[in-house]
Amino acid sequence: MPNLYKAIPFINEAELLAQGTSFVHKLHPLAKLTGTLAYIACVISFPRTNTTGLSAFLLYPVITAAVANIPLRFFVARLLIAAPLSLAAALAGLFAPMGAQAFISVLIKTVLTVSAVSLLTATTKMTDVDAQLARLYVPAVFRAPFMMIGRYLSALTEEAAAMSRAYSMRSRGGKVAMRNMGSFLGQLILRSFDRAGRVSLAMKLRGNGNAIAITSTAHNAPRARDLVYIAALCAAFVLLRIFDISIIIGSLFINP
Amino acid sequence: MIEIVNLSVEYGVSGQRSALSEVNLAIAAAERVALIGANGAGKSTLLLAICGAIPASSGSVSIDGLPWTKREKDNPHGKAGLVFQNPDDQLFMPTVYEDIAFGLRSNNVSVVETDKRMEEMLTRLEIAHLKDRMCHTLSGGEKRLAALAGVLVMRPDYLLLDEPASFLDPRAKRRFVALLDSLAQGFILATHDMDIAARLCSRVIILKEGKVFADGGTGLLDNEALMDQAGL
Repeated sequence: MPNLYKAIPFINEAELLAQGTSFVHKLHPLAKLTGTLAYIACVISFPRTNTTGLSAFLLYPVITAAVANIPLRFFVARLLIAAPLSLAAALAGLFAPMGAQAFISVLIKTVLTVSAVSLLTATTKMTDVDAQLARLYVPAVFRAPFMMIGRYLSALTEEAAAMSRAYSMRSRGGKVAMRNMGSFLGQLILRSFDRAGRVSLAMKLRGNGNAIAITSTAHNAPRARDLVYIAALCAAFVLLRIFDISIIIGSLFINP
Repeated sequence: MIEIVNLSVEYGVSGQRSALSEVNLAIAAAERVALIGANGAGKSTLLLAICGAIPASSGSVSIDGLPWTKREKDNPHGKAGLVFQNPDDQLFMPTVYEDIAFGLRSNNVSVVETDKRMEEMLTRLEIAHLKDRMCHTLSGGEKRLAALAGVLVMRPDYLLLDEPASFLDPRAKRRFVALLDSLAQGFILATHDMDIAARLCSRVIILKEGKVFADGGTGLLDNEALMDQAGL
């Protein structure tokens, strides 16, 4: 529990990285969002037994992360969070026909999709992503949970960290005992509600009546280079989806 | 003019706890008012009620003759701007710039006007160097300035400050007080710091158990018997 303080920089890391100034960061948020959605659509549309075609999709996160200067640990940390769920899903199909390939396919798809979303969050401010989702007519009811989680998760973590520190300082540095867990979690929820209420009030008092709608700096329409980026990226994804580049390259070196 | 007539605020499901009880006050726009009282005396509640952030159980609050109806309660910006006691509650956007600009953007202020006001505010509060910083990385004093900027940039007619000097070291406090002193507009300042109240304000309102206990000039601060009776 005392290590919760270490989780705060982890939660804020994406927003910190999104302040970067690389070429990728400077692209219009709509271009990055569209590219990510196209990428995910292509990846998840692969048949469950095709693993060679999928592997070529690794190029996108690798190249983009290098250009945007996003460290590998950023992806690894987020992949570790998704790993248990993904592993469970993959294991469920392991003993079906072509199970081994399906198992690998699920894991690769997890790596690719989680990397793509992580890349988007590390190169685009959360408010900008929300603004573009609004531009794409995604209803507020779907955008609100995304923004609320993003906004209040750090508040919740800070409260939990403060409480656990106070607890450990009066319990010889120990973890929260099970007998105290109920009241600890209850207090955490109450404190978090209070904190969230104050944040919500601060928003309302500055004119944000529903405490959900988000403002963004990305009011301008995409420029020519953004449109070229979207077109090139989507074209590349479609080509990689249709043609199995791994097999094509492999066939160049193997005589029939 | 802020006019508070017979204002009562009660908390709890069936109003078990009275936070304010029949408060009557009239505060002119240019006045600098110190709101003092012991913990739980109702200072923060009064500021929130003036903003329309919490409903009155009875009585009314009007600003420039405009009462807060339910609709207006949800949209009180523009008239009264509140700087929270804890800046962490107020700084919710990722960067300082985005947070200060939040109110302007929420109110659909044009991009050109937003940029102009932001430039002016960052320069005036000498925090231009902080504009791209993540809010959670700021020091206590920097957070306080950013929170103040986020409210001042909206140009409220009435500025309400809830314990603005708390969490500040002496140097940051001096700087903050000098900044408040340089403001052209009046304000209502809830504080426990009598020195700040004496330096910045011309009128002192003492609250005790949700009621106005005393209302007068800064001479009240020197009346030890009165202060003792007020629980201070």
